[in-house]
Amino acid sequence: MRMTRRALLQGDTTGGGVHISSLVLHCRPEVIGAVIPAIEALPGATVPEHSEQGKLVVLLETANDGTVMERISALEALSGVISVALVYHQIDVETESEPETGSNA
Amino acid sequence: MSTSRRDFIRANAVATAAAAAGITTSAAATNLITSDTQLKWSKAACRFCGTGCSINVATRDNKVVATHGDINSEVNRGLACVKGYFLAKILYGEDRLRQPLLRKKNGKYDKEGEFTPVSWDEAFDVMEEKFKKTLKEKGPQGIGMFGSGQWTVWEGYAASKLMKAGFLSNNIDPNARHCMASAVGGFMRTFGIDEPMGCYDDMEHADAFVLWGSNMAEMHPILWTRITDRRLSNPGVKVAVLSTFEHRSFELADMPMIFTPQTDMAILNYIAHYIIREGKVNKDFVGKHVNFRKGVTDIGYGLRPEHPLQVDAANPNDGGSEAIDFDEFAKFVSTYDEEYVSELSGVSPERLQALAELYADPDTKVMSLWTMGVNQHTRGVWVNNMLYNVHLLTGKISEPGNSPFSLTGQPSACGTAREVGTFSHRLPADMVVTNPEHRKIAEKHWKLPAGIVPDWVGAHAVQQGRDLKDGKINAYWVQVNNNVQAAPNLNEETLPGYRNPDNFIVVSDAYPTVTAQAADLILPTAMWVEKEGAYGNAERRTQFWHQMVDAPGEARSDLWQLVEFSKRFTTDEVWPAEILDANPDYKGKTLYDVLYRNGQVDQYPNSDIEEGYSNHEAEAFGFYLQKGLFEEYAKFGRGHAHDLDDFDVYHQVRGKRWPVVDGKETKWRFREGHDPYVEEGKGVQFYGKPDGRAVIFALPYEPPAESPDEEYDLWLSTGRVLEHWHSGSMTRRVPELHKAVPNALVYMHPQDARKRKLRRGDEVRVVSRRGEIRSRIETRGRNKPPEGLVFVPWFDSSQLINKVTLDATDPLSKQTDYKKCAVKILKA
Repeated sequence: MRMTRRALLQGDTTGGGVHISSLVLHCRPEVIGAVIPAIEALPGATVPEHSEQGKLVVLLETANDGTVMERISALEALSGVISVALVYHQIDVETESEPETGSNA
Repeated sequence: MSTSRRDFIRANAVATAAAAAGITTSAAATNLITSDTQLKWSKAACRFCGTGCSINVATRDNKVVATHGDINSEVNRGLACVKGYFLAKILYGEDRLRQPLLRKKNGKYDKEGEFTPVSWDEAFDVMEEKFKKTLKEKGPQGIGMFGSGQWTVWEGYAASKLMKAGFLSNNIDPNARHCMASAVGGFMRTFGIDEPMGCYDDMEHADAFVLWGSNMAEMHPILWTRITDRRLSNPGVKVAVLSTFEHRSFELADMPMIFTPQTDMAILNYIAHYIIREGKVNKDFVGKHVNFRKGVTDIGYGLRPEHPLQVDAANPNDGGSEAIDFDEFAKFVSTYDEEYVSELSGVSPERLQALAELYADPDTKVMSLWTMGVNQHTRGVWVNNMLYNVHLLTGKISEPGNSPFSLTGQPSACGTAREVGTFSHRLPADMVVTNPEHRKIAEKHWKLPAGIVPDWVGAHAVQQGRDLKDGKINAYWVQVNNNVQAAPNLNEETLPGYRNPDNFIVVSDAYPTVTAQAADLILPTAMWVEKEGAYGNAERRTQFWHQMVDAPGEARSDLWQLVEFSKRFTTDEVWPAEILDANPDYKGKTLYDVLYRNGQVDQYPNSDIEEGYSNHEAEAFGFYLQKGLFEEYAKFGRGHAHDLDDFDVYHQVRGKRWPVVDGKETKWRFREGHDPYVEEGKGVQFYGKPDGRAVIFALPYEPPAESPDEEYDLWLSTGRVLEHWHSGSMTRRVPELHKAVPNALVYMHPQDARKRKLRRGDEVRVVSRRGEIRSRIETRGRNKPPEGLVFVPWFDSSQLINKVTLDATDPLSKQTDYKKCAVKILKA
């Protein structure tokens, strides 16, 4: 298993494959505007869905599950965040699949 | 192909989380890894807290490789906290115990010897000799067992039966004594029957949530997510958080309140007073369903009898009470007005009124939630009683959203420790050893001679420690707990008993914990899904799982250990001659024969085991041991408001909440239409009491056992953190969790640090009258104590904070107060 390009770019050099995980995060509705950019500033973290009530879906792509734990700790420390729970986790061990690298199917 | 594959995984991850959060998306969701066909997925209850999340467990090549929140679970609906997420790794710590280890010198057992690997036969030979010697010299009072709210249901049942009906000793207690005994005492005193009337569904119905000392954000994170969801989706919902220090749950608090330790009692009496003063008593409910009683006061602090605080108490350990009427109760609480209680507690009169109004307003459905803040309290039973007082005065109980809810810390404190009756005074289904009728029922269900079950109350957790130190208990078996780290005042009262030359200490564990290292014999134990199991959570939900993988090396389940050890004793050796003479059929039998091969426990063949799963205990003994134990145990509760469903059902469903009658679970007890045990036309019936009425208790504020003074000038409160569970014996072996929170810290107010010329990160000594530890100061962390209080978590075996704590207990429940003692902090 070789290192994915994304993992290398993100400085994660510890494992093979990409760990794709999703979280449900609750925050105070009045801070959504600040929390989403703060989450997306974390390496490999995006917020593909959210509700105005303060419920967010966070998607993480990391090189290992230790990094998942680091991201969760960072999310919990954000001001206005009330709870973080894990839902989904899959390790994609297939080789690099980023569109810009071309098909390797 | 790969691009779309990765996109598919991303989409699935997002859709699953959105579904769990209740955000609408079009994609169908599943959080099982479906692309790997070599994985086998099974359900299990989580190994950690009392929430009882259902977890999907993936195995491959006899190894647990992944865990997810179970999307079909009503409890956690696909969610998992960080501990649940890393569950797979708790089985695979590098120092997992694989062989029995006996202290030996020159090839023989020696208390001062080195731990040496031995066979199970040799381990049991030595253990048998020590237990037989003690039984011969001291009788049943000389042996003891300390078990757990982490025992599976059948392990607790087999252990209780072995001790109480085999060795005829009630010196068996679970570590649940440290966490739930006050809750049990509160339930029994107010309702005459244990465990919450409501359930987690209340969280989607309540208009207000009041946390009494609980930090659910860290200790019950998945339930906290449910409450958060309710609060954010319904702007009118209010959350009140009361604690002696600020913590993560305050993020959601509409009404944050910091109170002086112990004054929760005064605040609750104030709320009762406010309800009465404002004319908000539900008179119809109170008239039909409630009695009033006044409790005996000045009951001491559960310390050794010669301790000055015990000597000074007028009525030590007295749980008595006398009947009073409503007017007398109203008069009793009338002195607890805003002025007095605000002064005592430090909470402003306006906040107190706003809090009281949540309970008083008939249109606000209130859920009260509490755990260790209330239970680990020298007046823990009283505070439980007082919480029920305010719900009973307003009739806000036993219906959706109106719910006094006692949360649980261990996965089966309810299912095993409480329901099975592993406490030193209890029998299954809330029965007690001191009641001759109850003993008779137990003897009948167990098919044992009349008079066999002992009538004396055995030593409770803290008493066992004292008795070991004093040489009264000499042969002792510890399973599934780490009491040398967990017990209060451990240097003075716990460790000496383990190292007392007269004592032989056996510890069954999966890892070399502090307790195992203090023992004389260590038995390696199979854990969690290495055996078939059952847990009961805080909402009366019984959940099962199958054995999914093999335990490493020679590790064996606690169940196998208990039942196998019973083969080494005969009735002639351990039962009184007069009982055997009167019942000659029992002569010459082994305890294994009379307890487990009794025609009931051994009646289910191994062919009943679900296909595709192994079962080491069934293979070892030749019958479906777990099913036999469960069905025999279930006889105690069926028809007596503790009904459990058939064994096989629980392997198919995500648990059921008892009483389960005609296959139907009960969500709200004591309420007609929800609970089949309520008689028609009664509406509400607290049938745990003979007259169907619950009790409102008049109880005063009484001061704590130890408060800060000039020298020891700070309160110490201990507790947990999100990343670690209890003593950390499992979670500290998960590298990711260990890295996230490697060591305990002293959480302190910046002003308190400045006064002592301390800075964040400084090494300090935390010193009490009993002992000290070294730690480091944290002034900016997740916990923000007020001036005058420090918080230290207890998961860290390199910083044993229980060297510092006081072994004061609630005199009624015998549960330790780990939340209040006096310390000083010095620069190291």
